[in-house]
Amino acid sequence: MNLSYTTAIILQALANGYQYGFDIIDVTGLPSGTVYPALRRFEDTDLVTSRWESEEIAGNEQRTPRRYYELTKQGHQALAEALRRYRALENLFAVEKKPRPTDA
Amino acid sequence: MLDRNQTFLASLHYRLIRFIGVIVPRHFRPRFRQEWESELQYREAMLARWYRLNWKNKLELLWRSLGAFQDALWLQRQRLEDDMFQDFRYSLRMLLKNKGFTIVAVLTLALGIGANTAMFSVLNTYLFRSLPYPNSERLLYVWRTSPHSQNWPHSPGNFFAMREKNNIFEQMVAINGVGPNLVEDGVSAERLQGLAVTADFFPALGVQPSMGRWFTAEEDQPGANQVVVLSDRFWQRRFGGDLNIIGRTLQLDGESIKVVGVMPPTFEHPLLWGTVDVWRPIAFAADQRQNRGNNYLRMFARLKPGVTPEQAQQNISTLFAAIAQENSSNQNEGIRLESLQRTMSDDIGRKVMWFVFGLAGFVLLIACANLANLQLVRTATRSREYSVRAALGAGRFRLLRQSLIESLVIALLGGAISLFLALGAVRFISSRLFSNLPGADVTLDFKVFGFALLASLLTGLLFGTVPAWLASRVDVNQALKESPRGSTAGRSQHRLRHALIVGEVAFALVLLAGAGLFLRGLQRFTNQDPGWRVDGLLTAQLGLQGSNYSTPASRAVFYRQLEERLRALPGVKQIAISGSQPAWGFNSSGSFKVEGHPEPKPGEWPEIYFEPVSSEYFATLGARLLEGRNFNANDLADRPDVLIINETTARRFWPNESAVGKRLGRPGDNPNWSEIVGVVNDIGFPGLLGEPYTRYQAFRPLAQAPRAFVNINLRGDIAPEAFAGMLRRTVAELDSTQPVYRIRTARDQVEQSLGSISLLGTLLGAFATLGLLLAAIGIYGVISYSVAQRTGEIGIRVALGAQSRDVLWLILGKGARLIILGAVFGFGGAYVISRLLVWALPTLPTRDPLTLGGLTFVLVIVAMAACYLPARRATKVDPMVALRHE
Repeated sequence: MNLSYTTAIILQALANGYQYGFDIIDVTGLPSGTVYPALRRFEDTDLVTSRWESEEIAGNEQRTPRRYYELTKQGHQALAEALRRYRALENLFAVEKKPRPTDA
Repeated sequence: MLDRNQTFLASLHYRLIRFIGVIVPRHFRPRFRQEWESELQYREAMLARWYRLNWKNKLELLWRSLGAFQDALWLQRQRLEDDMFQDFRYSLRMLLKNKGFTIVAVLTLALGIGANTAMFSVLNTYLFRSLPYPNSERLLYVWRTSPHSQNWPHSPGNFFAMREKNNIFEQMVAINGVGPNLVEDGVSAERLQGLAVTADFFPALGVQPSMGRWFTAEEDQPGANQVVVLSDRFWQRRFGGDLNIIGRTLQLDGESIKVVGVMPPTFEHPLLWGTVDVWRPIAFAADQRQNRGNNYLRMFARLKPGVTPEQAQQNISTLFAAIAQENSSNQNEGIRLESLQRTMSDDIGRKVMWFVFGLAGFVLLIACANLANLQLVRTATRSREYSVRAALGAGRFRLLRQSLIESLVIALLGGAISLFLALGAVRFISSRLFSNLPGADVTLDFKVFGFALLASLLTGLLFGTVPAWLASRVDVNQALKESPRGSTAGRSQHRLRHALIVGEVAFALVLLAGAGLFLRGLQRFTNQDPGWRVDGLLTAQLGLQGSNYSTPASRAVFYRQLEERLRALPGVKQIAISGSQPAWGFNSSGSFKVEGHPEPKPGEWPEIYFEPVSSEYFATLGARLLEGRNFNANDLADRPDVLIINETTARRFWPNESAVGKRLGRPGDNPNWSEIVGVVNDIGFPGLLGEPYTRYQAFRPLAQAPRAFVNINLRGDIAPEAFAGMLRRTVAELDSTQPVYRIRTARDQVEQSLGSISLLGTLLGAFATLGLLLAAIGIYGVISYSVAQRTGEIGIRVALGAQSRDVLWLILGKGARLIILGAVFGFGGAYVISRLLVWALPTLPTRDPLTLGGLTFVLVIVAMAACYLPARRATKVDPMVALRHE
């Protein structure tokens, strides 16, 4: 599967722990109209899976649970393949690792 | 405390999400909304409450929520897998479940669409398929027009004048059919079919030779034109595709001619040019270039880029008007441009093709009516299913779409199968239509596939829409309350079904009338007495070529010897040589004046055929000499010119006296008077469907006008198969280099020239039979269904004392009313069709009220028979069973 640079960036952001749509938008600077359709497509092709945030966390913050996305095994493979094509990608967003929601 | 304004603003981005969510497929919608709302909430929580945000942050949030729109759009793809796909799968399941219905429906449509596709492929071949030459839309045929005809050839003088003075054409090309004789040692002489063309013929068409080269402008000069380009077909047939053919010398008409090129197979286009073996430079001599009296050249031209055909027409008309000013013989004449492609078919052919195509449409209409009816029945029997689905929440649109998808699936399946039927039909048509034109064929191309697809979609919509609409209008309460049989159709369904019967009868009658009148007209045309006996006449053509026959006297001697030798053969009863093949018409005509009559005004000169014939011509043909004498051995070239004219000419110019002894002459100062010595009955042309160019006929003694191309006419106790060998031997005894060709019976000639028209007639007959059958099946279906529905009612009637006869009349009477109503409408349509035929083919005797009446009768009988079967079944209803059933 050949990934475009944009979609590879989104995968890389996911790999680096950015798991919510808006976080990915923030860190990549891509518009929401690009990020969401990409996430849907990844989900359709089994590169990512999605889950809902636990009610508890959301309840504590008095908001609705958010949906978060994780790379699957295929997703990691696809990213590795993309990294061979776009070498500079690896160093993107690597500085701060976001904690996983389940870690919290 | 938030004021109203703040409340509104606070919810703006959420409102946007809710609004966008509307277009998201239903089962994605909650998740979609939650995801976007939660993200927006989270962002808000991180930043501050909405009313505390600065404008920049507010705008940013709004901008993000707009991204949901793209997300929603992307999710539309899921919709396909959602409702539509479900509907499609459901349709397939339903169709597979009702195999009987599906097979009948698909086959009905396949027949209907197949008939239309086959006919469209014929139209496509002649009218729509583009020519195999680059930018062929810029190729125009140039015709000369006169008050007599729209399709005249040109003289060399006019050709050169137009070519030099016009500024709208890139090339202007003159062509002339030639038939050179090829003589090679050890192989019998063969007459080739060729075109003599000006040197820009190939550049104008823009196709490169596959081997060698075109000929050059220098070679298009007298004395330099001993070159020839071969067609691929001829090269393969005669020389086995010899790769060393370029540079080889052939003996054509006694000249040594060098082969310079071979054209690729795609270059040939038999429908346009006829069969062509060779192309040669036309090489006009200097005096020929000035000739303005001899009109024999065909002409086509390539438009300069950017010039429209209308501009070209205007330009060339102006130019020709100036030419006509200089040349008195072109007065009242004009120029007509026509796309080269259109010249493949003539006016009559086009009219007949459109006529048959139009009637094929009625087969499809009848098939549609049948299908609509089948769907109606299904809708009625499935009304409970529809109500249940509606009760469970299926929207009206969903039910409508479901039903339409079913119709479209049937239509597309029918369309796919129709292609196979069309393929078979096209093979049959090709083999019949082009048996004498190798290389020409009717094929299925993308246009034909496109047509079949379009026809399928349209029919699917046509027969599917109304039942679908009725299905979607289901009244849930009413339908669910009814008995599980639930098949009582509403009034509108009844009316619709009755309208379908009326429509089917009307369509079938139009179709039958069109086919019947056409075929009957064709039959009467072929049975008309042409004034001579077609059966038993054997004919062949001979073209004397070479320097031995360059003088009229040498040709006359050859013909006299040939006649004598043929007459001496055993079995030969009569033999005559003439200028033309009488099945098709006479080859040459001219203007004439009558001695003692006032000279006609310019442009109003009458035309008359001049046909050279040998003395036994009328006896051989079986025509009758009405007055005067026949030609005899004394009517020789050095004697005064004599004529025999036909009855029509005699009656027109000498209504109250004998024409014998009167004189006819050519226009101009030197009339060259010929004396009329006899009058014969009119010679008709049984193979010519169009109007003959003139009704006046004059015959001249062959010895006084011995043309190089003649027709041999022979009658006797000779089998047609033996005739060819006998003739070839006799001609070879006189001169072995002169081939005879087109050896066949006059009857064959007639059948061949009417072949394409009668083939279309056969197709039409097949369509009409198919239409009648489909209509009968349709009527049978409707009446059967209505009998089944009224079983209870009939049971009560019988229980109350109704006799079988009463029940029979109950059903038949209803059917008869509808059939007669349909026949009335159909009769109106049939009248229109008959007028159309008279307009399109005035020579065809199609005015035939008896046939029309007979066909209406046949249709009513067939339709009533279709009603009778279910009506009889109704009489067998057992009241006990029927009432218990209720």
